Amino acid sequence: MTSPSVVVARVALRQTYRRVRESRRMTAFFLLIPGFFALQVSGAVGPGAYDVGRRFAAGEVAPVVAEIRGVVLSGVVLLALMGVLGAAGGNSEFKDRYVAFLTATSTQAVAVGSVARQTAVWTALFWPVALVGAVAFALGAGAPVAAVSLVGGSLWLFVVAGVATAPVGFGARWLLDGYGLSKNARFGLGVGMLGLFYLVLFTRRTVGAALDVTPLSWAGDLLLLTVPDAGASPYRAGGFLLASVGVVLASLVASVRLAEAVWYGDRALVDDDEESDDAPATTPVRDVLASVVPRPTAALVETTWRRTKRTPKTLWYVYPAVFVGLIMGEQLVFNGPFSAAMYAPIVAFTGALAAGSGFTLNPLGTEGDALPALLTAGVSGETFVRAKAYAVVLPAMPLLVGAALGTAIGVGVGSALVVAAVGVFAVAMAVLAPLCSLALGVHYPPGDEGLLGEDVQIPNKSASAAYTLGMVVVGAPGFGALGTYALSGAVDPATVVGGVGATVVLAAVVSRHAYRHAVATVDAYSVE
Amino acid sequence: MAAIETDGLAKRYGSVAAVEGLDLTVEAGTIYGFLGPNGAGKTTTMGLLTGLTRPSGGTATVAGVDVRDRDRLGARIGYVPDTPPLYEKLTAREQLSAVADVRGLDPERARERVDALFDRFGLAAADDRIESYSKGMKQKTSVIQAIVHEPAVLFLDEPTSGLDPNAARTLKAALTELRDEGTAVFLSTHVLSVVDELADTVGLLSDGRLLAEDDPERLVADRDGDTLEDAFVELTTDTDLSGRLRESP
Repeated sequence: MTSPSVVVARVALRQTYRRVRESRRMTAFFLLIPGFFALQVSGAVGPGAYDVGRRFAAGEVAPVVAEIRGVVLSGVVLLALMGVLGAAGGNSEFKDRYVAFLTATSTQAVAVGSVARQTAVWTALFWPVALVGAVAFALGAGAPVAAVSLVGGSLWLFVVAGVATAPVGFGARWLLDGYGLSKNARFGLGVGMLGLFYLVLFTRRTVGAALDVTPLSWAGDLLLLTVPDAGASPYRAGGFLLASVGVVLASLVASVRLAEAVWYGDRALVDDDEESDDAPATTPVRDVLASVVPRPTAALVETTWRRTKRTPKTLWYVYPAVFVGLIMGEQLVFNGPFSAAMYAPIVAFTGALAAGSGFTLNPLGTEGDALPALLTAGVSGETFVRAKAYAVVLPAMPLLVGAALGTAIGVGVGSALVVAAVGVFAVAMAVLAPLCSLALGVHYPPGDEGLLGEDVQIPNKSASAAYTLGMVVVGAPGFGALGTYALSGAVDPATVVGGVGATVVLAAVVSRHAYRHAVATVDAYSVE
Repeated sequence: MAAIETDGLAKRYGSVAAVEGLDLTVEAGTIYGFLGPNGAGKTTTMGLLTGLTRPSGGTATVAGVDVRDRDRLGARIGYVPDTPPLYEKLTAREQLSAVADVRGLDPERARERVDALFDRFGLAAADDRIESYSKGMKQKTSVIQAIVHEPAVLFLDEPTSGLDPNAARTLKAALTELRDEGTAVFLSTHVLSVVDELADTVGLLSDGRLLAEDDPERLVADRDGDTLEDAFVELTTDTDLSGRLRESP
């Protein structure tokens, strides 16, 4: 008879697989993400594992082995962090997913099945990258046998990392439920982990070097075991294997214990910003807004803010844009050829990109069940689109422009023209961002995209991609002009004014068309 | 002027006709019970009449407004869909205050009316978040939201679903009052006893077409059975009648 854990994992995986298969966008996501990284890692695009294999075959044995050991160690750290991040920020242990099984079999079987599903999904998503890298190295080295331990060892690392970090998810929920914290606190935990992730990502080589003297370095022996002349120790490889089996078993036990506590503790969730019972007819924020925009618009803006504050997960896609900013800073300035003056346009561009990556990328979807009430309340497309745009621009504009100007002045940009150009660039991008994302986002009605845990609709991935492309095209002239200054240090007024001016004109034209298109689409929206 | 008037109203999805040639007239100050088996096209019809779904053909006016003019239509109708259209993260009071403002109601008057409706429906937890409500409490909030602006026509899709007997009785009394005040109530439900008790006219939809329309007593009297349920079963399983209707232009 098949083990109940296997049945649970199989059913959950089948459901996940069908969801992916039946959605072109999700299928593309599952193929493109590993595909993109596989191309990079293998050496098909630029130097990669194949080239490292060629160097190995040419006699550079010691440096290549040291390099692989370093990659393995930093990989272990990244895998652990990604696992923790996924478990802490995800929702895999949500009880409702498993109610049918919990009434049919043991908690242990369901918890183990849940962990197996989670591990299988993330292994399927990311391990192919390691697989391609391993095969490319073996081909480059002219030693097919090398692929055996590289492929098997990397697969085992993914499994260990997936299982070992699963208790973090259960633990996060147990902590939050047990101490009456809200779901928002969990989101905060996820954001904290994301920050740590970025930190380790940038310092992975240093972290890897520090871990080289610990037993974690034995993972390198496991992966190099069948690589000819690599000097891997079978004893250390065996030791790592045994220790990791112990970690897997201990993690499964911990997951089961925590699952019992989480699923049967049933502590009521408490929100951390309970409202006062004294409820006025209206609020000061809405009154102030209503003094400058029509009251229906003000009510929608305030409601959007209030709901976003209480469900910050709707801003989840803002973080990848911030991540893009960090990467740009690291690549272009920290380790690149540009001076610190480049930080200012990076802040302006990626800040604007982030501002438009929230609810405006799926404005109808984020209304959720309440959308019919809104549409039958006589809300025009114009009111709706303006409200969503104001909800972004009002907080984002001062923050964005202030941050961009503050950065420019803070890093010592001496030219008043360049500082002013940075400010104008930031304003243009801040206006463009919500309108551009609204024009694309209105094409994705409720239910079109999956849920990001509980009741939170996430922006459509293709809307995200098209939005990013639009922002890049419009922002490129201004960004390039400010980049020219950051590269050379010399102010060429024609370049600065011409580049930023081109972005301003483009932003004005695109914003106008985007606004009209979004309004017309909402007005014509039909529940089909 | 009729509260609802449709002429050949149709909605097609490709080659599939969800609603076809629908001719309806609902007078002000009446309750219209809209019945039909699952998949008959009732919810699609609700979508068409509330402006949420664009018709493929025919015409429809509600309270004198073309259903294609959603902006103007909104001021004249209230809609209670089968899933309560609420923001889970708001309290009922916040939700209703926002909707009242969106509708352009005077804030003070709206607050007074909302408070009165809270009392009437016994919604004591108006300052708790909607996510903490039972299904019945959400349904009450949804109904209050739909009538806060005193609409000319009220659409309800399975409004008694999830309500306990006390709340269901309160809702039925409220609907009767609204009718007496001149509101047209368009009620879609599978609970035939509610229709039997409240409706002045019953329309029976099957395969997107109106099979029968009459007052409940006559509808029963013209059939072999004794109850509205008997009439419903007889009409919706009369394959000859359904076939003839499908073939008719």
